[in-house]
Amino acid sequence: MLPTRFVASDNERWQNFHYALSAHVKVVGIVKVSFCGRKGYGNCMDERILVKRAVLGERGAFAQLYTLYRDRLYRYAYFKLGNESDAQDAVSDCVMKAYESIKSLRSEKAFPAWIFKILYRTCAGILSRRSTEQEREDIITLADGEDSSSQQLAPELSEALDLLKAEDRDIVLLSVISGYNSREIAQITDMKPSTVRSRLYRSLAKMREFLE
Amino acid sequence: MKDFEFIKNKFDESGVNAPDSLGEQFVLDSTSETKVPEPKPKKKKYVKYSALAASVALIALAAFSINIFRPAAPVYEVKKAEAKGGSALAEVRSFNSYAELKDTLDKIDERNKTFYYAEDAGISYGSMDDSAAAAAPGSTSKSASSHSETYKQVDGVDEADTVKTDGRYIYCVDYVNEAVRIFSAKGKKSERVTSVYPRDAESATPDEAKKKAYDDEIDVCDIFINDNRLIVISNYYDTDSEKTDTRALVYDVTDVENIRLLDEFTQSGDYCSSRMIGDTLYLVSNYEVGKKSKLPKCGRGSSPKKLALDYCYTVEKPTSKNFLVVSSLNTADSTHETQSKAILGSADTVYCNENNMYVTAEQWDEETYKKAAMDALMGYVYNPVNVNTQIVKINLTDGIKIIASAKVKGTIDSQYSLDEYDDNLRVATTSQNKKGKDENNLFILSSKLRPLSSVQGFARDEHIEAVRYVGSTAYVITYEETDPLFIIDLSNVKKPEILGEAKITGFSTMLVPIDDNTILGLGYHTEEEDWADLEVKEGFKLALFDVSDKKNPKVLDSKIYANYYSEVQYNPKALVYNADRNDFVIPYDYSGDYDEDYCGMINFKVENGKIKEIDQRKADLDSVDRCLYVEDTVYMIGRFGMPTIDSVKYK
Repeated sequence: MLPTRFVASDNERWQNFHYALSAHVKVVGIVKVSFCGRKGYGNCMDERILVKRAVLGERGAFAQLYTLYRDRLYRYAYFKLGNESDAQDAVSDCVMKAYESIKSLRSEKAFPAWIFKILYRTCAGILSRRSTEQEREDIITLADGEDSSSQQLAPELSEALDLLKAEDRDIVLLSVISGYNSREIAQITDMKPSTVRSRLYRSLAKMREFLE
Repeated sequence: MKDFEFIKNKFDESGVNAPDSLGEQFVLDSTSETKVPEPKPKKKKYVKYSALAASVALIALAAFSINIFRPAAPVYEVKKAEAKGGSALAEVRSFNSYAELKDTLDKIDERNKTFYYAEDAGISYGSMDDSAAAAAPGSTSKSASSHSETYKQVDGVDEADTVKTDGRYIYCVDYVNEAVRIFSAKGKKSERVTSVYPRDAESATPDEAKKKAYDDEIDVCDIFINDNRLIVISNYYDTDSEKTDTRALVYDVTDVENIRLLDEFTQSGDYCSSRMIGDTLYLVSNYEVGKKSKLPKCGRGSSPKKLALDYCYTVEKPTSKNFLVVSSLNTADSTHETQSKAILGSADTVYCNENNMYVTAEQWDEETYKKAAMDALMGYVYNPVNVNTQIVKINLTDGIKIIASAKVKGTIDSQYSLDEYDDNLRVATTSQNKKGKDENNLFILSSKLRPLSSVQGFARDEHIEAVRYVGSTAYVITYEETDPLFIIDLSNVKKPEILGEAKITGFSTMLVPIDDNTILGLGYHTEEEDWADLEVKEGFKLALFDVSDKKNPKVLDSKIYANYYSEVQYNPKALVYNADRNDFVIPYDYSGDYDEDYCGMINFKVENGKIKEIDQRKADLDSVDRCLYVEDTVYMIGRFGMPTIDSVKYK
């Protein structure tokens, strides 16, 4: 379990969050890596060093880097796809793709955005293939024990997300879990930043109303 | 606690964490066999949309615009269709009967059988353009109280915007709460005076209004200010019929404490664009034909009648069941008859001068659409082939008259890709050659939209980011790695000619002529670094070009603002030109590496071949998306939630 703590700075602006994360990695021993990041871009020196080493080909560094993002990646995939098995597929696919193309990453500070973009696309592919299969084979529910509508973790949060349109869900997940700001989300989702801001604002309010 | 924090905590406490099986060991194990390819050579490809060019990118179920790789297709000959009863309309024809309309629609259905799947897979028809293009020189009219006006493509033809001022007040669309906020323009003493919640003429309470906004039943899009009248244009969505209407409400704001609704006009369809010439409002919408109601409804009030078949037309070979609906409304006289016409042919972008309106839409051939649908379902990025731009010409000088329609190869960047000069229409497009590489074209069409001449296939591997026409010269910015400015001579309509080009890094998305010999470009600064094969936009950039020698344009000056971003990079209306001072203001957001975020405005001018920053000021806001000026004060508008304004004096 990786304890994660998000602390809002005094500045009320929603964009300013410092991410503090301590990770215990059980491979060689206990390694404490601290990561300070802000809205998806801008990560701490330790992490940047890991990225540098990963780009140079060090598998161990890449694996450590992954652990810093592991929960965020999984959480994003889970809430986007709605079930654990798809989320696991998405994360493992994403990690493979990331590893294969890590050498083309030249800007260490761009690592968070880069890996989430890969995950975003991986999830999109799973969703699109899922709808195809259901259309073509006329399957309505999945097999026993794999029913995506039951056995959900965090059912309340999932329901709150279900209130939103697919695009709005994306915006919330990209903002709250992945830590992107509206400009970055605009680039990923191909909307205008102003549209992203207003939709995010409305979606958060809608979700809060439901959850409270 | 702010909503964001609240929701974030919920996610953190959700207990959703990666299982142990997806831990570090998993990564080490699964990557041991993987061969990591060597870094690719530094071939920078700027991808405008979310699809990666080289690899297989996947499309989500949300509606995404499809990106742009198409092999060449010949310029379409604009064919003469049989005119109805000898009327002057050639390429556009009317329907002789309702049965004929139904028949036409059925044929489209037949052709587009795979549409059904395509829409589910998230293909959207039309474009979501995020870049601006060239803008005409700033309006130079001087009114009693000097204040900014919306940046217009054509003088005398006003364009709608989300912020307006009449010198007394600042009117600002609040798209979170679907209202128009009115602020007094009093410098630091400015305050929100009142709000307009455009709903039905039977005004709902602000709470009902809020609910409607959250339920997405109303979407305030644009406003106009004209002679103490505020015109609010919105989309109204009816959950039962799942149809959207475009509605324009005209309010009297002479006394903002007592705002009166003067007029209300509704037409079927999603709001596309609008213009105002004098007191007349021209409203354009895109109406998707329904199963039951095949014809659009237009008229005063909130439930107008169906448009008579007499006023409905079709392009030669319609490929989608969408009507382009255009109406005119006299906003100064609510008794004046309105006029509406509809053309089976879609509406996406509007270019309009004082005489003619040209409405464009993307048009896909049958093969294109089928392939799009299949690829999208397979989860592949779709590379559409044979995408054309359909153009409908509408004359406005004596009522609304449909003149002609045509198709050209490729897609346009924005309304600034079109320009009418000496009765001829110039259109610049980006298309793809047989190998799927981008290439660019400029077509000249006659007053009846017949092809006169063209330059095709220039700037291979690049696409158009900005176009600006000055008389018989076209300035075109294309981009892939660098920002070549092309100068095209159009003085001989039978033989357009590329004269020269200048290169500069980064790219401009907007071109502004300063004088006969100088053009200013506003756009993006890009870094050499690339990650995952994408070049990163790293800030804002100004570039000044010397075009006195059209065969040898030069870069005079450039200014880079690293980590600065501005709405003007994709919205020409965000540029504020002050004719009295002959200078410019743009809004900016700055996000640095170490938690320093701020926003504000930059005031600059062009002088003696140099770009001079006059002033740069921070705003006490979360972000600034637009600016305005009234007299000697610059107002900055931030919109995250309720719009708020801050102001500074011009230096």
